[in-house]
Amino acid sequence: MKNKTNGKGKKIPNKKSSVSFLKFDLKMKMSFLLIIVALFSMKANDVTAQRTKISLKLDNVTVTQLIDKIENTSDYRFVYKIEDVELKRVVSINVKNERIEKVLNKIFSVTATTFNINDKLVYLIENKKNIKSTKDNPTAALKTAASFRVSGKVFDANGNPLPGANVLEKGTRNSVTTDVDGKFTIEVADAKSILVFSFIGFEAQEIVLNGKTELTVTLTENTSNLEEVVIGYGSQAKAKLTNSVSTLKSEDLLSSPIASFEEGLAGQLAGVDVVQTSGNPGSSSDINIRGVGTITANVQPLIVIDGFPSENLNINSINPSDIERIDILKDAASAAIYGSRGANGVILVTTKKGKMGGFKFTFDSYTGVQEVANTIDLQDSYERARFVAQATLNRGKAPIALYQPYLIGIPGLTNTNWQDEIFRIAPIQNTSITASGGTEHSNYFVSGGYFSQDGTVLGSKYERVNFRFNINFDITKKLKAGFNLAPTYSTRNKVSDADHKGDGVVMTALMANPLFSPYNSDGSLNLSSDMMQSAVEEGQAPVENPVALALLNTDKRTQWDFLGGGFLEYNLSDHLSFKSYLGADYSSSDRNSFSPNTVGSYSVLVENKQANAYKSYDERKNWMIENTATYEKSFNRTHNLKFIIGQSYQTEEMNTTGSSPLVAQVNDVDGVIYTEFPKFEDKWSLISYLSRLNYDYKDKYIISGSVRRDGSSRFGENTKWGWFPTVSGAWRVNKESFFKSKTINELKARASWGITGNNGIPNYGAIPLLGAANYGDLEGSAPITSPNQNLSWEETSTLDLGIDLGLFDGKLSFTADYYNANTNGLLLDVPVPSHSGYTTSLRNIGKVNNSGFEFALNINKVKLGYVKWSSTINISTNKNEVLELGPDQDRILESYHITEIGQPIGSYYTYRKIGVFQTQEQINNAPTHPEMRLGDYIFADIDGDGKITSNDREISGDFFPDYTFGFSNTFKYKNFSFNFLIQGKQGYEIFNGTSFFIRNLEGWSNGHSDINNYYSAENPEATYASPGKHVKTYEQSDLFVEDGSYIRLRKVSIKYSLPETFLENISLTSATIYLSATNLFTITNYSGFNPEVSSRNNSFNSSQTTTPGFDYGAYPIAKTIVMGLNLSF
Amino acid sequence: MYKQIILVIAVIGIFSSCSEEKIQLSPISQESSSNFYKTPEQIEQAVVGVYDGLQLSGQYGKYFIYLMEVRSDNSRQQSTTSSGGIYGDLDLFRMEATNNIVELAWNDCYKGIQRCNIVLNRIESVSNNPKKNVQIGETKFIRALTYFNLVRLFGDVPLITAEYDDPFEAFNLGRTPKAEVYAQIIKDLTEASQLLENEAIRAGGATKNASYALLGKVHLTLGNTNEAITALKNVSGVLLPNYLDNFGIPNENSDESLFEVQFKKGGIGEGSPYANLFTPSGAAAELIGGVGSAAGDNLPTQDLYDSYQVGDLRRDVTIGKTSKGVYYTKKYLDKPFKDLDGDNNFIVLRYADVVLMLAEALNEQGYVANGEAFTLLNKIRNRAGLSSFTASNLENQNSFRTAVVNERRWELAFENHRWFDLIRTGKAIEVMNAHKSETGVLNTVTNEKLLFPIPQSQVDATNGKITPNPGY
Repeated sequence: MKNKTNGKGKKIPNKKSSVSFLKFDLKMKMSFLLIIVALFSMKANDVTAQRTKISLKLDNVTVTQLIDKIENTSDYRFVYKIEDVELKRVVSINVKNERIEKVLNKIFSVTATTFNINDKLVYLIENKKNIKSTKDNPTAALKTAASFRVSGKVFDANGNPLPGANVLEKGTRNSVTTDVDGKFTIEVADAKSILVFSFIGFEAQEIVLNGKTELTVTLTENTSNLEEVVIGYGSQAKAKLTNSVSTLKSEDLLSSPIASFEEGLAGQLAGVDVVQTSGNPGSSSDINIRGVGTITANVQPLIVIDGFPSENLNINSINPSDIERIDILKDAASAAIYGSRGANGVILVTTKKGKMGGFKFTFDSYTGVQEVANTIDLQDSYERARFVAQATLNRGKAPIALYQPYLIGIPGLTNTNWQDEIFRIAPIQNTSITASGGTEHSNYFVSGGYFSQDGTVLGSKYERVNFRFNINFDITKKLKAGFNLAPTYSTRNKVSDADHKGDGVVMTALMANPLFSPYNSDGSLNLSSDMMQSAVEEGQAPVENPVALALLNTDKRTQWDFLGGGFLEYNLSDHLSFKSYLGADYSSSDRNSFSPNTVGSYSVLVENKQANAYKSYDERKNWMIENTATYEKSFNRTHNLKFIIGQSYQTEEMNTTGSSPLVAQVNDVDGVIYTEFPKFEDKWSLISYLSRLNYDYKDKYIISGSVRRDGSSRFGENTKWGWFPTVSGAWRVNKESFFKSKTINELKARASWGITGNNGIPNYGAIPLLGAANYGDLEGSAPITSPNQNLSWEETSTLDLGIDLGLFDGKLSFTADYYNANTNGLLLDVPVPSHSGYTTSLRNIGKVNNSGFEFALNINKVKLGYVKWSSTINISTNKNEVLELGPDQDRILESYHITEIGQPIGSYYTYRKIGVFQTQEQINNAPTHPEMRLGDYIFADIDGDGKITSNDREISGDFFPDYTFGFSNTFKYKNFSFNFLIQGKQGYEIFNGTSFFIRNLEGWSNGHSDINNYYSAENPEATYASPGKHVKTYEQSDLFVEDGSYIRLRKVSIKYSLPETFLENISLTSATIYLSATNLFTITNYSGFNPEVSSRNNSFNSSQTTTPGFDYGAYPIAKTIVMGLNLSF
Repeated sequence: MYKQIILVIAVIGIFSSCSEEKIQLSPISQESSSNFYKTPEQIEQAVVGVYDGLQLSGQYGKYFIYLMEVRSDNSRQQSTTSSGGIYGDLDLFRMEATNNIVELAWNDCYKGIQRCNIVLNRIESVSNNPKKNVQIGETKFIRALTYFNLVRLFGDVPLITAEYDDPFEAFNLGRTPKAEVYAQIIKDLTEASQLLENEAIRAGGATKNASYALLGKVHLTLGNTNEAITALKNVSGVLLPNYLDNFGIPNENSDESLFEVQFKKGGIGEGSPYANLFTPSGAAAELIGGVGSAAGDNLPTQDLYDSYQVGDLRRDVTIGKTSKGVYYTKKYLDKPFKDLDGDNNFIVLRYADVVLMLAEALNEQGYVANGEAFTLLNKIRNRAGLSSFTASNLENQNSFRTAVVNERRWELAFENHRWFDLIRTGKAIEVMNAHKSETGVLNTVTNEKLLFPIPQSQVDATNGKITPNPGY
């Protein structure tokens, strides 16, 4: 600790010269991180003792039975030679919550057996002190006529001697076990014998003697390969995986404060892109797995919670700390088992279950603060006044009186930075409590959590209470049952994060005039009809006081979510089991929004304002039944077979009722008299059949195939059913006898191919719908959607090639994947000529290709001095290309975006601004444009016809990054652990729609400070044109297209676990205090709040995949710092 | 083992027997067009939908007034920058093909035409429909009115008279020459005038008189003077004694009115937005009982105000002045139920228009000093409190022409006639370039600006098959 403070103390003063910690350049930040890293490179012992406690009450049992009992009720496993332990001895024991050492001492203290505990393994070995004779060697009986003696020592990967390891002469039953020091001596047939070294939990190793008499053997832990990966409808050993699946475990997910689990995924896994577009508490992030393969349909992956696929899940209803692991199916071969819903990848969330052993209780709580990650440098009042004066002058008028005092430079006048007024330092806190436990025949996990997050913008808040009950038990020896239920209640006070017209608080704070003050002199809110009136007079956008908008307009939502399920599993034989699952997701939400008549609205002054009120009640009922049978058998330990067949039916019903006010001249929501809209109901259903076969030959050659058949209510009469087949295979090269590398422990080549579907379209997308078209009192109807009997899912066929490599006894593992995915029959809302009566028509048209590479490197507990270092680096690339659109259609144009064959979906399509007219000569030589005065923008004549027309637009960027990366590190030293995650994206652009206002040259709103560099006779070499009147060409120019590349310190945390000796006294098994932060800094050239933007979250553009990357006043994300405590006993 | 496998397959089989019909779901809260239009009641609903098309915001529901009045010298926008300047751009002739108002007008006109085409396509196969003939007449009248608006706004436009099963069929169709569109309009109106009755079968429904009046206007626009006179003379109508009695809620669908788009306030989605749109910013409390917004759109110009002759009773019926001295459009002011939910109908055709058109047509046929044209013109003038014109005031055909255009401006201000009158009489360029905008600098008006741009979205969507209008 002392060293740490010194280390910090030395370096910090250098940086105080800089404005604040958050404004360091990258180099300084990196060096700061390295110092912290270096602080942990000090000598000390590693303490990772087991703290599980044992309760036992046994009378007159044999030692064998006792060992069985401990193994069944705890995580401990025993390793012993039969001859070292008197197994038939009868013992009795009665202990409560005792540590294993004490229990074992009671049993073995005066016997010829002693013990040695290494993590979860208990070695029972001969106690040389207590035995009379060591000469009697029980292995002698098995000895063959030996002529060659070999001795040596066996170590584990950390260099510790491995007692109890088995040393076998291959092809015989001749074996010995290593002693407490890991030593062994064996006599074998001849100098060419082969020895096989094995030990539970370690990779077996064969060594050809070739005359050697002394051997040093290192066995590597096999955990990663024994690990099971959840793959949908079952699990599979990671070593035998033929697909591309990424896994994130609880500890990595929870290494920083997160409101919902997808935030915790950001940057952690190759090919999984999490975009946090809004910091509004209770909002969710966008998840893209391997790019965007669709234009109109849903782009979010399917989320499956404990086997329940939910298309409309409220992600926020899942408490992240209840999650055990998340497995992401990325390639088609793994995702296709989810058929018509698998095309965007599948996220499998597995919640925690109770573990065998005594009762375990954990308590975790953190509390902290959040602040907006950055603010935008806006014009202050004086700059604003000068700009407006110039603009009005250029229009041939004088600025209104309001600006006069500023123009003559009277100091100390009102100068409001509206961002300071709406942003605040906001508290965040989370508490979760879990109780879990299990016996041989049952286990349980119960949790309760409370999360509360105030937004960094005034008036926003999110609160959630979660409960979870996960219970599994054996009814009989053959019949198992399980059940889970997770009720969640949440409330959300949302401030509008829409655009200016929707009174978006952030957008209006950027636009509001700094010459006005948010509060009156008496401290009351300045309901600023003055501000709006003056805006009208000078032709500005009239916006209400953003503070009033944030505080007085309310939008409150409360929601209940119940996600639960139960299963019965019957083992018909050792190889065949049958499982029946019933799951349900019910949610109901109430929304109540109100804007009193005492606060103005965009272009509506307070005195003209009516209250706006809206109430709605939404209900969603989703349930499914699923039956599967699994057959698993190993023939001669050579042919391993697993076969699953199943069927499911899922349906979801939704209904909405809403009300708007009938009478609304009120300033209080209680005064509103509502009129109710008719209830709107909606339903979809899906019938599925599925089957999968996994086969491997000696764990070496693995093939797998699956097929699913889906029938969906959403699709056209002629196209309701579809097939989704896959095939995949892997070759574990390291299992071959010719493979003898000592460095490489795992080498696997994988290949997979499959077809997945995307059914993410409206429930009645195939049916031509009619809507109300009333005329006065008369009831009428008219078409709203166009017919398409052939509407079907998008089909994505994906090829994936991968390599898994394990090096240096599992210290290093590397995975690389190449994928190529072609999506056919895109569900495309094709813009059709509106003389058809429709403006768009939903079709299966066109093709998109996504291809890319993914690399993940894991460094697992490498020792750097006395520091243990684990690290993950992942890099993914994705190239998105449109291959085909509608018939005779080579592009779709939408205001600022183009989707064109040969280009990525939704590229920006803009004029090219090449400068500002500085001389008459430039004007004379320029292509014709309505504005050609000195100080006007010059645009490039792309088609060379001498005029600037709509044909002079070109592609100026897109929202698809060239590559994304994540770099996560954990350093452990003594009881300290330090973790950070750096994440970023490079090579993509953002269309900064906020610039329509803050870089508008008519002075429609307050501006970004960089527009102070506008053209004038005194400043001819300006970036921005002369203020005043302008046609809108520049708003559609590359002036607003910015580089979005960024590098972000996403997470940092430091943890300290209290020493065990200390915990003993207060009956705790562990106690950790931690300090954790998110989004501490972002390095980017982007001038907006957050380079993670998406038009999918704003109201300006409709929710279309073809118009991505459009930033229009989204709620900025926060940097968060919390301090927490984690206890368990 | 085999028994067990058979058991598993059997169990799965049982569960699977629930199938096909579970995924055959029809919409619960909506109708589908594939099983609609089968009964007289459903056809009636579709015809109501045809009328509803006129209420769409791209038509009389909102945007026509910007294209037909704000564009002209009659009115102006208080803020030329609100809503991104799309209104101001129209007012000041600086708009581009991406202008949202123009696009919505185009889209909503065709949405309305589609509703007409569906009715006309489906109505024959429904038997026992007593209203059939009148419904066909009403639908043809509305289709003709919509095409007439389209063709005057945009020039050549795609002419569609069939129901498209598949909107993709529309990709093959470009712009139809204006003459063919007019031929269809005349055909529809001629048929409508045969099928329709003298009395409407619904509030605000189309009548024989309305279709003759519109037919007369079409012919007048085309310069078919004789046909115009014939059609207009078929209209039987009256002038109300007081000009004022044409406007205001109690006077809706008056005897003088020939066709008006119906609106109804009360929070049922049937209200008109004019009261809020046409109230100057900050004057809501003063003019519309403080209910809802005051957009400051379509404000009368000083030029219009000053043009009225002394003693013209119509000036103060048409134009009001707020306490802050801002002129406002008075014909549509009433206290709305809530924001953008007013009661005011929009008068498309009234008998005064017919009288003035007939005067204009007769004068085009030949100037007759103190002839029938003078009588007609003076009827309108006298009602407005103005003295009669005689051949000594209007000495020749040309001066009579000018007098009719001016009379129409005063009589029909803010009823969506001015812009088309200026174009029909060939005065648009001269008048507009002489017009001093009170809002901002008016760009020079050229011949090309007399048509609106074909929306960029349509040029883009059809890959150029729909060609842009020159000058945009």
